[in-house]
Order: sequence, then C-alpha cells, then structure tokens
Amino acid sequence: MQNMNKKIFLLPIFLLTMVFLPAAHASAIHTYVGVQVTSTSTTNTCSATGCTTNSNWCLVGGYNTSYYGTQLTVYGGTTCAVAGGGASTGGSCSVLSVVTGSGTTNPPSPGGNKPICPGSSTILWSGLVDLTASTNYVLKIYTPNYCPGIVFNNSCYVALSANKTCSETCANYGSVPYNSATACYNDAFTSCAVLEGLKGSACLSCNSVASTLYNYWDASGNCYYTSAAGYAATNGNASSCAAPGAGLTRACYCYMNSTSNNFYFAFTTPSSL
Amino acid sequence: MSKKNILIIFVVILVVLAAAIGLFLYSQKPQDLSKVSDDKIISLLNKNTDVKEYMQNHADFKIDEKEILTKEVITSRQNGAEFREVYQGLELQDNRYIRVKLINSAGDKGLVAVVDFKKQTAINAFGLLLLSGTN
Repeated sequence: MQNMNKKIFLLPIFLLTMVFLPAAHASAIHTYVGVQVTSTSTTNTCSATGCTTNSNWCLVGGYNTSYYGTQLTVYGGTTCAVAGGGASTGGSCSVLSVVTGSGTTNPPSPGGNKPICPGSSTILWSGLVDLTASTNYVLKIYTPNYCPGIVFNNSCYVALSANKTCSETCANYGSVPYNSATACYNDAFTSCAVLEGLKGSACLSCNSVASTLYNYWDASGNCYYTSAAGYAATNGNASSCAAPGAGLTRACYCYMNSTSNNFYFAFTTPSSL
Repeated sequence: MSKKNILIIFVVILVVLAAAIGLFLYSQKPQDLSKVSDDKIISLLNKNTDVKEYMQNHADFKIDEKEILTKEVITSRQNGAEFREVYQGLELQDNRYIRVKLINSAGDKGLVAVVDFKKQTAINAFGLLLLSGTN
C-alpha cells in the first residue's frame, strides 16, 4: 500500500518531467548572421552622397521591393564552400535561410542610414538560421538593383548638391538620368517624403509645384515636389535635366538597373555558439 | 475580552490591512524603464536559460545596446525585415519591454533578447554571429 502511494506521488512528477524536458530542449538558440565588409582593396569610394565608381561595393541594408535592396541567403552542407572564385556555392549546399524582400520601407537614403561600403561599420543581417558549431556555411549577398538614394514607385531618386544637372547627379552614382541627358522623367509625387529622405531631414515647408517643374529643395530647406508625372526635352521645362539654380538641390531619377551581383562569404561557426 | 483589547486588535488589523494595500499599490506602480540599471537587466536575463548559457560561455560580454520598446516600435518591427522574430508575441504595451543586445569583447558573438518587466523575465533570445567579410 505504501509503495502504491509512492507511485501515485511520483506519477505527477514523472508526467511533468516528460512535459518540460522537450520544452527545455526546444529552446536552443537560433542565430542571425551578420556581415560587415572590411575590405579596403576595392578602388570604389563611397561617401554619404554615394559611390564614385561601381556601386556594387555599396550594399543597401534593407530588403525592399523586388527591384531594389539586398537579399541575404545562408547555405549549409557538409562540404559547403565558396567555389569558382566566389562565383558558386557548389552543389552540396542547401538553403537554410533567405531574407526576402517583403518589407515596405524604402532603402536607406544617403542622408539617413548609410549603405554598407568597404570599411563601413554598417552590418547586414541574415534571417534567423539554426547553426551548428564548428560547421562550414556560406553567406550570399545578392543585390538585384542598387539604389543609393530613395526608391519611389520602383524608380531610384538621388540627389547630390546644389545646382547640379541630373546628368552630373546621376554620374556621381555611376549612372545616367532616366530617360536621357536632356529629358529627365519625374514620377508624380504626393508628398515630400522622397525629398526628405534624400535631404536626411524634414523639410522646412512642403510645397506642391506646377507639373512643369522638377523636385528640389532650397538652401533654407523648403521642399518643392511635382504632382504630375512626365518628361520633356525642352530646357527650363518640367523634366529637363538642367541645373535648378543657385542654392537649389534637385532630386533626379537615375537608371540603376545594371548593378546586380552576388557576393559570397564562407565561414565556419565557432566551437561554441 | 475588554473593549481596550478589542480596540487594539482592530487597530492592528487596520494597520496590517493598510500596509498590505500599500504594498499592493506599490507593486502595481509602473516602473520607469529608463531608470532600470544594467545589473537589474542582467539579473532578469539570467532567468532565461539560453541567455544564461551565453553569459556563462562569454564571461567578457557587455551590454552593447538597450532600447525601451513602444507600441509603435513593436508593431513596425513585427512586420519588418530584420530581427522580426525578436518582436513576435509581444503585447502592444508601452513601458513594458527592453530589447537588449549583448556582445563579447571580440565583437563577433552576441545575443539579442527582450526583457519583459511585467513577467520579470527574458524572452525571445537569439544568437548573433558577426562575420568580417572580405571579397
């Protein structure tokens, strides 16, 4: 009888152990993998206003539209390694995690968060992935289209400094104006959000201007946006690529569709994660 | 029992009751998270077995970031691109959670977690592995 009582007493403890042991085991730490590009060997130079040459080495730290942003993929496998001079992960790698472009925010602007450039302190983070200690993995960074400015309506807008033409402005980022050096297209804006993103600060005032003008801000920080889309080749007109005038900084729509690339980083996890 | 004794017992009960109510009200008073010390945060982090294990394995860790979460921040990051898992399951409440990032002295292994000051524990702990990439 006494043994029976003991068994009855121990039964709940046994059952509770059965419940809590798997729960404790399931709480293993998953990991985010971050990469910080520290190489300074590239000839590209980037600053707060963009990159002077090939912008591939400045990667946007955001995951945005299907056209712009940066995608990170973590591959794992027993023989997973970067092969072919970094061009391939080989056939034995499986995808563990992909950060997809599901966000709604535009890429960081030059005036706000900086893109990741050689030597930059900015870190790009992968999605959550379950890593094993002392194991080889490969992290791929994919840039479909790099926009060093602000993406609006799948168009890439950038700005440089006061009184620059769109040809000069786009050239600063290794690009050319959309649609030509003399006819620059503007989307229809409904607010000063793009201008504020490029400025890196709030507009002193936000003004809608005639559709025959372009998007810009003045030296005091007052912003002016066009509410009608279009372009024309005549200078002084809506979307000509002309310089806006002394003290005025223009937002320009540039081609940014030829910079897609993959970057591979092989790594081995430490013995304790 | 004399009237005097009854009165004393009544007063004692009243004092005990007032103290209990006072303690209850004090415990319900919202804590100002901006004044929470690092030691307090670490003591709460220690209640999570994963975080405790990290701190034991990386005794040289330090608090790299701490951020009081607001309702707006929780909402936006639950649907954000980076670290969205950190914010899942959090109640939309102000002045309840602090997001904490720990990092080792080498700067390559860290941990991100959320301290829940209502439940007095740490939740949603995930590891961070930082690579210095070259290409």
